[in-house]
Amino acid sequence: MNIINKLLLRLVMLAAPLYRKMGVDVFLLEVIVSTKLVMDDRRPNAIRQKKKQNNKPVKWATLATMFFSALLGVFLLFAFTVSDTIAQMVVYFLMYTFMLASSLISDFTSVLIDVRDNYIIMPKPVNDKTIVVARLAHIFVHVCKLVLPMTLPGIITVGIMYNLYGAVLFILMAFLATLLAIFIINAVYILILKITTPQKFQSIIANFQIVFSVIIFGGYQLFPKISDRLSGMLISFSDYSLSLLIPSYWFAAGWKVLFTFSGNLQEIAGLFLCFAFPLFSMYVVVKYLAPSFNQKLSMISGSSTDSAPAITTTGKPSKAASTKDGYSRMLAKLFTGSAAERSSFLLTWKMTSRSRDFKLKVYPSMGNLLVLVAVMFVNSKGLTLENLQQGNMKARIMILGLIYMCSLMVITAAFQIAYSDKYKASWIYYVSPINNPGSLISGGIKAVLCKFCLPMITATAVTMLLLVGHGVIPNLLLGIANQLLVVGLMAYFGAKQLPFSQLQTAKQKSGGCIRSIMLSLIYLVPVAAHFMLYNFAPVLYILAVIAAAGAWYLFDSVKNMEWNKLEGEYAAD
Amino acid sequence: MEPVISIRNLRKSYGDKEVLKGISLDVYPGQVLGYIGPNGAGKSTTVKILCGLISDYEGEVTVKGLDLKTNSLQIKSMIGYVPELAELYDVLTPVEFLQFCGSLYGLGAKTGNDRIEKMLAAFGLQNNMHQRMDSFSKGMRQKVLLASGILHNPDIIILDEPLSGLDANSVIIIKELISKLAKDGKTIFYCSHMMDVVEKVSDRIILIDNGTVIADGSFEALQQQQGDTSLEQIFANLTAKNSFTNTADELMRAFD
Repeated sequence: MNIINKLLLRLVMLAAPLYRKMGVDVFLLEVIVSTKLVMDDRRPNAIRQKKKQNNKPVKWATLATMFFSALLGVFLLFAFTVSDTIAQMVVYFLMYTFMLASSLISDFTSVLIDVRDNYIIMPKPVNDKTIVVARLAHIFVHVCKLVLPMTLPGIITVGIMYNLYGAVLFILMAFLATLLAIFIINAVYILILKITTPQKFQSIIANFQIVFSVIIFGGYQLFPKISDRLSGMLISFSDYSLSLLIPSYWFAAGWKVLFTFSGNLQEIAGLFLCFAFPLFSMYVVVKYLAPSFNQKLSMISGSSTDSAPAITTTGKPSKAASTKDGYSRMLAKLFTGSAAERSSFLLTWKMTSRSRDFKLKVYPSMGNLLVLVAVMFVNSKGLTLENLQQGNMKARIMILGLIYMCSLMVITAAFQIAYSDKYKASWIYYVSPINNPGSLISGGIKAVLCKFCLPMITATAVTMLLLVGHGVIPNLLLGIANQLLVVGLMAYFGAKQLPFSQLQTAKQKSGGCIRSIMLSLIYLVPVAAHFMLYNFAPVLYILAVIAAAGAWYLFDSVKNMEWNKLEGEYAAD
Repeated sequence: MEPVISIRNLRKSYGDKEVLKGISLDVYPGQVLGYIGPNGAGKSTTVKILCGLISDYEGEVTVKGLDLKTNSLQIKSMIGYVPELAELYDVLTPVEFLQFCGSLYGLGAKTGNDRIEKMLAAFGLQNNMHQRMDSFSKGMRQKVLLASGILHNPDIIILDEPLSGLDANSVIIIKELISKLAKDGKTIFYCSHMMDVVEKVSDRIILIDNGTVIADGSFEALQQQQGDTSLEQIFANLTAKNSFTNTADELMRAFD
């Protein structure tokens, strides 16, 4: 265990007498939490990881996480650009709580809820309360590792803007806000567990995470744009009694009252709430919600294997399922050649909607792109329909931005299809008599294109034809052809792994980073050319034909790729 | 003799699906109980109830006279559980993992470390004691798991498919171990699909199907009832819905 974990563990154990009063076995608590921390430190993480081949196991993962959250903390300083004290604090704590909750919600499933606990800890003579408090303590330590570096920039800023006393108060408020964030998340989890079956739990959480991360991203994009308007509006926070409904107002009011030793009734109410609510929610979770939580949790991984799934209908598959398949089957027939390519197309189509792993990695970035589109519209003040039709600089950026956005969305997806948690299932490719494994890859990429890109491009095309008129057609065509060309280029040079056949490691993730830089470079050429030639329709048509032909050739080459060109072999163990 | 485990009319449903439909059972010290049944019969559910993983069941389960519902902690400390899937924290080393398990059972550090070292050495893992288990083979993990199940010297040992992944020599060791533990007065609850092993290690066989006990007795007693044949055949006679020859024929006809 490293020094940070040790210190934090000691901090947690300071409250040992309190735990004992609650009926917790303090010794077992320490054993469980310290073991969990050792494991956390060895868990490979995305930011910094050593290659497995080196046989140098992961250590110090903690420090990397802390560095990253310090960076996030710098972003939070945004809030102090607002002029009013209360508004500053409201905005800061709002962003802070949200940010924390969002990082927590993803850590919960991966780090903090470990289904192996059911088999390892549950059968041991450890009482429920100890397990719950151990989980909470683990969460607390984990959160501290995020929170301490994240709040540090804020604390320093407050210390400079106000004084040392202000900074101390700020630490106190940040602590309470942290408690609130933890327990909100915990309560949400418990609620979800109460309403749904444990089997569905993880996919619901995954969807939740996706939505959450998109909201965060959206908030970040939009906040700077509305903050000017906000600071005019929010100065009078304490005049509206409704602000008491905003938890971050409590902390803002609490800070202000304690800092100035003055405040109106509402601010004093905020002060009260900022202490009372987090402590009360902690009590509720430990006392009432936790016992059933553990029971349900034990079923997340457990019972699903025991009882065979209910048989819905006897005999033939139901009609609903076959019509649902119809659309993807039709597209598969339209766009794929060989049987292998078609089956890979259909497999990819299904996996991209069902695999939690895939959804978590791809859907947030797609959502973020949609946010960017929205931001583009928000930013485009003064852009009128006439401008769009005339095709001035602003309109060009707008239209091309929209067109090329479509393929940006699928590129993450197209590369992600090589990876899967169930990568071992890819033995099937290797034992079946397939001549050109490239057809499996091209089938997968085509599925992604059809599934995600086609609806987008259709929607964009229809909108543009309606708004701008038929003048946009050559641009649309070249846009589509160029994107196919770029995806084809990437597939040709980059996609050398069979769909869902690789386990994603951090090394490959960092490779992804380099790849996206390369990618933007590849993009730059056709997009820049398109931008300059925007108004020369005949040239656009010719270029579109050339690009389409190029794309055709590239896809065909991918399809005919042979076994010896493939990267990465069957990863048995 | 007092039964060590006594189960009365045990019922458990998931939603409206009843998995256990009133199981009653007395298990005595020193017995090796072969607990068998087809997939979905309710084996794992029984085991999970016994281990305290599932607590919302109907009926009565007592262990050494203690009610499982009210004394689950005392009962848990008497039981050693080796789960079916090789579930362990594989970023830990075997020693770290076993120390962790020992501590949860309240085993002192000195006794614990002493036992851990001896057990790992006996399993032939002395050179891997301080390696992280993520590089371990299935058999090596299974050995660590077995060690974690008996580390605290429990009176009742519940083994769920304990031989999976083990090589032939290790299988012999485990079989020997089971009979030695039983001689020592320990009760073994042995769940498995491998009929030939169950036939050899257990001195009493419980066959459950559809959440009820359909056969209970020593292998010899079962042979007397069902004819002088293997446990595999007895199992088939009692649980198969249609004859296997028919099924095989149907499979062959699928080519037509």
